[in-house]
Amino acid sequence: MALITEEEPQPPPPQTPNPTKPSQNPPPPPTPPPNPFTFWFHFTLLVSLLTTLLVSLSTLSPQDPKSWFLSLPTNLRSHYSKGRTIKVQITPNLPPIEVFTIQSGPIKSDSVLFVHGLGCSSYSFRKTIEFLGRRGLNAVAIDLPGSGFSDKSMVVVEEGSGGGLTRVWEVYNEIREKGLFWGFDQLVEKGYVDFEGNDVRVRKREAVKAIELGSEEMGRVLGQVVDSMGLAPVDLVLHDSALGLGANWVLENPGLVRSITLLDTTSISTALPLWVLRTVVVRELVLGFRFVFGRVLELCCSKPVGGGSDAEAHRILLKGRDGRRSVVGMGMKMNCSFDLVEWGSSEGVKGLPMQVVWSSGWSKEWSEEGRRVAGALPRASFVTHSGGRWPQDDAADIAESIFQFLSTLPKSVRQSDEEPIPDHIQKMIDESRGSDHHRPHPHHDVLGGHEHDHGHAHDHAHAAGYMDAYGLDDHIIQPPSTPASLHLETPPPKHGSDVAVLSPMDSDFEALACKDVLRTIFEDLPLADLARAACVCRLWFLLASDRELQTRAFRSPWKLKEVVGNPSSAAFWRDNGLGRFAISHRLVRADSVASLAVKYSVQVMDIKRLNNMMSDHGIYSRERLLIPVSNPNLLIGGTCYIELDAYAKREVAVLYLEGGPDPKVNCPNRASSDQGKRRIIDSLKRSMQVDDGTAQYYLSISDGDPRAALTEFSEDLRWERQAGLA
Amino acid sequence: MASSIENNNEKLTLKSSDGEEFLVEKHVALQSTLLQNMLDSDCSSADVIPLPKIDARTLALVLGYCKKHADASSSKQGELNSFDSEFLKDMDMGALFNLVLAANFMEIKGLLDIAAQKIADTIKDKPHQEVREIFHVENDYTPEEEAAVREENRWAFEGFP
Repeated sequence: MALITEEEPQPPPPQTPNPTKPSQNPPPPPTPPPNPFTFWFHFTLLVSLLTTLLVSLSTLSPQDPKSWFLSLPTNLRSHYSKGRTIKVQITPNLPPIEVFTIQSGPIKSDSVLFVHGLGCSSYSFRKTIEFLGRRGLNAVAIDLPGSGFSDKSMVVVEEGSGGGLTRVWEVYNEIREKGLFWGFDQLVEKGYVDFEGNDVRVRKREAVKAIELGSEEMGRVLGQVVDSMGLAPVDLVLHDSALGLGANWVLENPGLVRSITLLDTTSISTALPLWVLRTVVVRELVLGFRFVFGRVLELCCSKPVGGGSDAEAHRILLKGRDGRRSVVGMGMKMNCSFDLVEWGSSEGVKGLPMQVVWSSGWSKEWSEEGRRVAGALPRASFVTHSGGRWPQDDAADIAESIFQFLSTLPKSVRQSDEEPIPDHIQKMIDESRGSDHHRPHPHHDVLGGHEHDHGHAHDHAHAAGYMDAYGLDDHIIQPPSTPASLHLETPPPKHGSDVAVLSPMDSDFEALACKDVLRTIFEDLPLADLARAACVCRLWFLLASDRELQTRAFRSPWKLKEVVGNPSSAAFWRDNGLGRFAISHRLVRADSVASLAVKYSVQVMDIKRLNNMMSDHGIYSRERLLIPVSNPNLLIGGTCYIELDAYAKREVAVLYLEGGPDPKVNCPNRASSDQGKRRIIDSLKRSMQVDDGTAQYYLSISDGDPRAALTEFSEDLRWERQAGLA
Repeated sequence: MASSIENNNEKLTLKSSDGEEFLVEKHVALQSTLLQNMLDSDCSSADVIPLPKIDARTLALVLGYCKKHADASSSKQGELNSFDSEFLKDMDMGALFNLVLAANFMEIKGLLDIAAQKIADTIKDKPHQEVREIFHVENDYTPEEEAAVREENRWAFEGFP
């Protein structure tokens, strides 16, 4: 717009030089006429820029969950594969949602649960939990619903509000679905309009809603995670805005919590400014461009470490699957009036050991805030770390301070009946900690791999050996190399102990590695089995996704010879029920829907439904009608053309009977043989919904002409109805 | 096919991967397109034809099938059908796979079809995890890939765990 306004102030039209002198001529036109091209040039430029921007922004946000998963960078993928999902019910009456959790360290030791702040995710804590896991703690980080890999939206059935525009929209949808004259048609056919059934159906609709956790739902999430993973009593680490959400749960369940660590947390604001995610253009810019998002993170959340790949990971997690909406929604629900002092001195929290871990080098204001928080919680110990407000790769010192803090706590009696760590073992672990924390652990900063930290192992070979004996050493920490075993939703193949897993190449089943043979086998599979075979392994997927195979499976149950044409979506091949097929009938003058119904032995309503017909009169504006296939034998050896019918508005495999002589199609207008007569009676029975005898009667009084029989029948029906009404 | 048979008594020798030799009549061998092509190209029927991919046990089965079909050629279709279904009955998976491989290699269409059909019948209506087990196929998907593929084909999993 700025560009335009620059052009707007045009030089004021020059006045006539001497106003006193009566001018003979009309005032001369403005001397240099502004060049219109300049304006149009800028205008066009501006419009095209805007268009490009909008188009590129809209294409930048793919929302399909599957492609989203597949497009993840490797660091996120490996993070995902190490974790598992837990079902959590956050709202009664609604299906449970999936919460992503990642665990490290021996399960039977003290549990630390990391709850991240808004905009963040368990990905930030991956190094921290790995570190703590190595130190013998059961470290768990979760993705809150709405963040990271957890579910971000759920399907909610909403009652239609019926107000104003919504109602109009519903009516519009209804018309689109049923046709404009639906009510009228029904009036003609049935004699009345079925408003009730219609009304009830319309009022409910499903909506996908972003999950927005309030403090109550958050409590449920925490409670169920702690419960299902057997974490109680848990050492809770609340990061950033998690305090505001989790504080209530702590108050209500003091028995489940052993200690609380507040990690750069404040109840007032989140590290990632939410307005960035809320404001319309800004959010697209920030989430759409890697560089911008990286800058925002640097400014607000964490120091630039990790070469930008971490920032990218955060961006993908926030953007993917509509995560932004959930985060913003949660931000709105945050308890802003939360009073830290009151909370800290309340009954349930007073007795809990507490620690505040704060970023020291972030900003002056932030350190100030840290002191304020520490002041509000006089009993909490205050420790600083060198990182930013979001933990990141250099998070070792955070982990270290958490570890130190936890090791000073008295041993808890675990609520579950798991075997407690014997005292002498605990002592060993403590000793190893004790000798460690004097130096800054340069080698613990490298936590990427899962190989043994050799320097450390050597120093404390004694302790490590002991831990080995109790199965506490690293090898219980699930090695990332077998991620499949951690993933709950897709259980790995259960091999019996005696069955060795063989890759297809070196198994006895050499045949399975041979593509030709496999193909031959797949050729005999029905569609659904083919689809499931695609889930077996990559090679099978490749073969089973072959179009030729799919069309073959599509054809085979009906013994079709050929299917011509490409459907608009591959999903077309999935369903090869008889409803996918239709006969094309070229309309001639004498045709009516009823006569066609008889001719092809199908129901009038079925024809109308298939062709999206509003009334019987619609037939005259069309060239052809699609007729449902009632007799599968018609398909044998036939050729179908995949067509998107303009009237029917659906994609069907169309069979042209007129195309070739087909002995099976006979025109049963006049019954010639007994068999033909039988068929007519059957179809009359179906069309009129009467018993055999009635159909026979009408056929006989109409001289064997089914059309006349139907006319007779409907006249009688009308008469009956009138008589009934009178 | 019958036209290419000049002398029914002519025999040829097939050698399996484990060194066993089988003497077969030519018209039986002609059931295999592979052997037919070999015989057409050079008529050195005196030589031993090595079949390095097929072991003796499988080759015996294959030749049994060929013999039956060559002898009963096109006369008693019903009898052949019942023979076919009987032929594969109670055969274990390993033997079946060897057979299908051999049929594919020797290009015996009829045998390939019935063996493949039999294997396909085994796959039918089973969850993919079980198929993996039966066929000893290693799952080379990562969990998220598998989840994605499964999601894509979710319609096929109704009634499956």
